[in-house]
Amino acid sequence: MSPHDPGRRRHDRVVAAPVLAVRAAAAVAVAGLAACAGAGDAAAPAGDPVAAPASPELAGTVTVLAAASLTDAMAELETAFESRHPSVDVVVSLAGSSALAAQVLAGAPADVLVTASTATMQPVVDAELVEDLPVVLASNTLEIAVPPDDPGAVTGLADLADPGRTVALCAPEVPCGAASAELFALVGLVPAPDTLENDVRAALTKVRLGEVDAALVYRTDVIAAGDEVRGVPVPEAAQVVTEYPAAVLADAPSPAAARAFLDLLTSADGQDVLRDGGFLVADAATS
Amino acid sequence: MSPRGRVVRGGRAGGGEVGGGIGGEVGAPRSARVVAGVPAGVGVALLVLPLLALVVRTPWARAPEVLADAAVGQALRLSLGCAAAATGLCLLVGLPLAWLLARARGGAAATVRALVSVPLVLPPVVGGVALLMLLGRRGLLGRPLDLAFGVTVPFTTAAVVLAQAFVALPFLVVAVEGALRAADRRHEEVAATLGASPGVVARRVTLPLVAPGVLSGTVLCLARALGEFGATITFAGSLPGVTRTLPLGVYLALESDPDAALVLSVLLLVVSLAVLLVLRHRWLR
Amino acid sequence: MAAPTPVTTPDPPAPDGGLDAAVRVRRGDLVLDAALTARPGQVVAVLGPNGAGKTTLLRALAGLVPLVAGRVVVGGQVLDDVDAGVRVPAYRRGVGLLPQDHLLLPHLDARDNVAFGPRAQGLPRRRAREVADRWLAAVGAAHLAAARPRALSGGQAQRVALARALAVRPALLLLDEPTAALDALARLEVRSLLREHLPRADGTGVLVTHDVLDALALADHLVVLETGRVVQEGPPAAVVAAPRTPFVAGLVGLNLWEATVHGVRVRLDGGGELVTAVAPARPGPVLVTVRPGAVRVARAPVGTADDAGTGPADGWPARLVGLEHQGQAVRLRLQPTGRAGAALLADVEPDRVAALSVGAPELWVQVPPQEVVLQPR
Repeated sequence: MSPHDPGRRRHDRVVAAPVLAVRAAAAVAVAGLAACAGAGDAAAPAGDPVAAPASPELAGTVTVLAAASLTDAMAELETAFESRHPSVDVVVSLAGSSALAAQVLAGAPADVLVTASTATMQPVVDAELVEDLPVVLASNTLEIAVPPDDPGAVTGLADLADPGRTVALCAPEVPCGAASAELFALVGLVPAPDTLENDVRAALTKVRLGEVDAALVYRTDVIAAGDEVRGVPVPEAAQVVTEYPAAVLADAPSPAAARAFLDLLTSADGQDVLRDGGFLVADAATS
Repeated sequence: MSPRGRVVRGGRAGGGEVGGGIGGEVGAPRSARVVAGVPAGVGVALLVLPLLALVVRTPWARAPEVLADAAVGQALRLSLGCAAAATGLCLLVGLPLAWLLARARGGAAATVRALVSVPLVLPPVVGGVALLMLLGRRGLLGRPLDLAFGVTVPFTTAAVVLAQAFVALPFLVVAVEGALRAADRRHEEVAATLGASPGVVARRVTLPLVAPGVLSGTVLCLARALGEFGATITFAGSLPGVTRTLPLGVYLALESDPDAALVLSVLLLVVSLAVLLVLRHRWLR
Repeated sequence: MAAPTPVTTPDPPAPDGGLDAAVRVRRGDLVLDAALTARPGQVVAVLGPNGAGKTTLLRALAGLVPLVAGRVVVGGQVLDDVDAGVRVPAYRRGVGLLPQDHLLLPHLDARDNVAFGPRAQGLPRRRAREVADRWLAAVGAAHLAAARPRALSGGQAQRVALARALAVRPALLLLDEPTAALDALARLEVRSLLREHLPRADGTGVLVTHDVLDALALADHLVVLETGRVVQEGPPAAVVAAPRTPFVAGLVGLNLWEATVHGVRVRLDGGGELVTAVAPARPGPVLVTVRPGAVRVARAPVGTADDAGTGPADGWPARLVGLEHQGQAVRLRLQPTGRAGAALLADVEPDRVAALSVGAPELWVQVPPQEVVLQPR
């Protein structure tokens, strides 16, 4: 389609390659913190979120568009950020990653975008709507969720290919569905879903309501659902990792606060919150 | 044709007659029309402009490719089939219900009427959840059904029909009941004196008298069923060929391929308009 | 059984008997309690003010409202008998109804409207349409067969409605003010049509009307219904000549008062005094009727109340409150000005109107004794 300039090609490369991306994320995070520290109070050590209050001029509203699977983590991070920057109001809008990306492409006035796959971030990068390289905050793996009483006696992925069981999957068009398809292809199974949901939370809801015997969702969703669902670990899932890239948007109404929020996400505290939520985080950013 | 000719004609008609004889009488209604015209115009714009924008922004070049997709034909067929089945179901239960409501008096009828109207104001997603609570695997009726017969309703095409009927039935009942109330009951009485039994009266007098109401109710019902989204995705899920109707397909396409979603939206718009036009043409001469 | 015989020919069979009805019906505040009888082939007119229960009476006879008590027998068949628990539903009574506003079915043309009854009684469509065509021809509406009711004038529609009612050859035909909704010309047409067809109807007719002319032209027997009760009945001409209630008197344009007679002196119950030429044998309460044309209106009383010329003048003072043309004369509407006297109608020559109305003078109304008509009450 349109010719790629070198800058964009670089973005492509960063987002497309997971390993590179993680490394780049760490690099960008450090660079971002350094820049922030340079602009503000240089005394605070990089990576220490306590340094953030040193920017007292931060005020206003930060609008964060985040993938639905980040619901619980974002709530915690929002509270943490607002306690450090009392003049900043963080507004988190949660939805499917593709829908969020579509909103940004349509010109939604937002500051930070966090999606649940590099693929969904890509169109935003292509449109040069990000201020800087997307950084990968964390990654996620798939797990089978079953109702607590496990009516389908589900033990593994093979049970999700059994037409006799009622199964909910994410639609292949959305990130969790793409990951699911990849996983099934990897293990050589053809799934037998009864419904293909538009986002992972909808799939999980079907489990919570007991309407399906099993759903393939993110590990984080199983953890967030607490006692309402049980997780059935899938060893093969470790080979299909979904990454969560985040970026400050080029047209962010509050760019400074947005950068500060992104810094929190990549800080040790932010990474701890994500790890507690069941996400995999890069050791580089947390050490 | 010429601008000059038009000016001259306008001068005679407008200046002479309106200014002289009936100018004062025309003035008030005209200003009233202007006052009403502004919000009315805004209303029309609110309804028409988004649809116009949809048509304008649709990537027509991609339309053949999108429409040729087998999944689209599948979703369209499913949509039409389910909407027709839901409308049939609504007619089957809605006509007797409307008749009873129109003829009944007292508090019980008023209560039933209010209950029947609830889905009109209920978010369809709530309707879908409510259907799950009743007919889901753990639902009040769904659990015994599952245990006794091994029958589960969610995630089936029947669930789509039920979800559509749930949201569409009130449209039919309200329209038909209104027509029944407006119809002159003395027609039925005269028919009885002519020897027509209650069944004959219902078939040959009442039904034809309220036919316009039944028609508009059916059209509304069908249109509502065709466009149903929230209750369907909640109660029936979304599986190609089984439960993924066109609106569900549009919504999913928005996640992955917004251009295709636009094409599908226009398709849905065209199908809905076609259904309305065909029914009107056939029934209203 | 009560089911009417299917129509096979327009020739009327001889009815078994007439109408014998005594009905009590409650409708809101009104209790209708009326008895009605008619021989076969007779037409009974029911006259009464709005709300008297006329339409309720028809609906009761048609089986459209339940009786509280009573019995309805038509042509020897018991249609209602509350005591015996008999109630034949409307569609099996063989009782036809011609409503005021035709009520033709809008989705059927005139022919199919008329064929509706024969069809409902079991005739195949083709035969029913043949029957309908014959009845349409009989009422002079053959050319309207293919017309929809919406395209018919009021008079035309009423013709078709009559054909429809007759086509089921009802043992009892109920007519609910069949000319009330029509303009003057159509009213004449429909009235003459009814005059032609009612005697040929298979059975008995009951005609509810506001219009005295309908009753005089069409009925053999007139029943006056007020507030749910029969207040007067008899041959139409006799009832019209001697009305016993203000309603009928008003309809036929007579002055009617309740009074008490003492010799030749007639004291109106509402005040005022008249003199009669023929004293009844005994004093007591009477009904007084006076034609408007017989009332004398002048600026002052003429003569005195009795032949001796010794008493006070008869009549009473009044003033003009309204006037209208009434044929060759002008009808004055007068209100008493004093305590004594009654409102009344008086017809005067047009050339006297100016003299009586200019300057709004007080007038004096009197009635010549030979024009004071008394009936016992």
